[in-house]
Amino acid sequence: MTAVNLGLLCAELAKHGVALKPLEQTGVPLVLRWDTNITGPILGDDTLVAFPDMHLSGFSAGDIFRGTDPNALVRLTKILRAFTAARTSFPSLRFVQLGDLYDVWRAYPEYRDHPTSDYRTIEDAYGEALGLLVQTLQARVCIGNHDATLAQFPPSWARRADGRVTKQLAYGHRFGARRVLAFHGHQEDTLDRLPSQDGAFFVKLATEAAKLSNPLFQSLEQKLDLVSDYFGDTDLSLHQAFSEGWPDATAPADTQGFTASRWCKRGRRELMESLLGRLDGASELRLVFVGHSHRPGIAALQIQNRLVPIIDVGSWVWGRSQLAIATEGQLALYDIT
Amino acid sequence: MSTVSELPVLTSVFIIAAGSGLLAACAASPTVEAASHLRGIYSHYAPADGNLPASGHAGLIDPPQSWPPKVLWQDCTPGRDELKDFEQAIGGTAIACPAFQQHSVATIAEDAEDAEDEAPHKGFNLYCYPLAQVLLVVETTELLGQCKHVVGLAVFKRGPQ
Repeated sequence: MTAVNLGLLCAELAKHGVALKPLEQTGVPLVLRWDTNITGPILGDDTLVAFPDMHLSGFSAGDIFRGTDPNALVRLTKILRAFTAARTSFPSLRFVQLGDLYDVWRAYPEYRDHPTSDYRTIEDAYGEALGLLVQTLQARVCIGNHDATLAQFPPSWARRADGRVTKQLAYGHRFGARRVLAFHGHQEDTLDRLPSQDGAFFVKLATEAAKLSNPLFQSLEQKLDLVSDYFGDTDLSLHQAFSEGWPDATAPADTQGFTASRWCKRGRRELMESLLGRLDGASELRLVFVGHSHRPGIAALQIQNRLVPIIDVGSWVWGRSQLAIATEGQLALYDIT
Repeated sequence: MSTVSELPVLTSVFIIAAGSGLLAACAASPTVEAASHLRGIYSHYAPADGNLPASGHAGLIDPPQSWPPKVLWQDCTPGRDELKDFEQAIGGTAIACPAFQQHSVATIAEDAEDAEDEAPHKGFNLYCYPLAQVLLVVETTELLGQCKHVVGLAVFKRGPQ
């Protein structure tokens, strides 16, 4: 097996105008390295690029991908084109999107009362980027909570001429001969508390506020989203603030000035461990990728008495443009500038 | 506006455009496959010869002058949204039609499964248009951000009450 040199890949992307900036916590890059002489193979021949939550909506003021940053779509399109070009030199590149690709709640605020099977609002606004991601790069896509309706009514790109729905769209995807699992990560929220997705209330309120598009209400929506992030899953937020076990580090300051410490302490880790421990082939798991929290970080789970790193890749909302790249022996989290 | 679930249908007419000369790119419409999964709300039959039957037009009440729609491009041509042209031709906009779209997806997909060898691969979609006493179902191939190409049509007639 031949691991891709991440430095060379970054240099290749730079030729296409994309600068990957390593994400840091307290000045330390978020990088995970492992020795395959000890761990055995994990990624194998794959080089996995993981894109987290994007929340693509209708390009309205309530669209948190666009948020307050008019260049978000430019960055996304640029890096997708760069990866398209880089595949010639790096044919082992594979792509996964970790869920909440579409934000159906925001694109169709009425959808709870009228489930939609028509995603044109989102696809008309983001057609080129979506086409590059799911049709050109053939990214595997996980189903998230904001686009859970995709599981019932799959979008066009997951449908083939014979009427079947491909496995490009699934709740989770496994790579590296089943050793790597990628999924959205909200499932642990719902294990014992199904109504916890009532964060939808905040989304609805925020979307209504955003209709009054001016800086004041846009700011209000942003704050509501942060509130939703924290308190939409009440138990999670409390544990997140006070529990132990995740990297004790200050969150990287981002464009929002969001600097709450210990933001990546997902106190519901035990539920996640319980969930993953019951998966078919759980004993094979060596690495887990999730999104959902919008807060990038690296931590570890105990799954069947084995330490399994869990990578929270972050998000593409409110000006963030984060992703993870993993090759055999090394993984790094990046932001795009 | 009517929704799919509100339309009572006892009889339907299915049109396969292939062979009609109208939609040359469509060799076999997946609409047949998709619609065959429907239960309860709709039923359909496909003409044995697979061609557009003359009686198929009778399923349309007061067809617009632009009926039947003409395909302007043989395939998914970049920059062309044939669906928009189609909607202009019929003077209608699509309604949600979840009964046609419902499908289950995999829980966990394995990396070796379902490998695609065509890149970029086209997707397929269905759109529904209520027209008087019929529901028109249009099938497209799509490359997001590049083109939508109409490849299949189906007409479901409103049956007797």
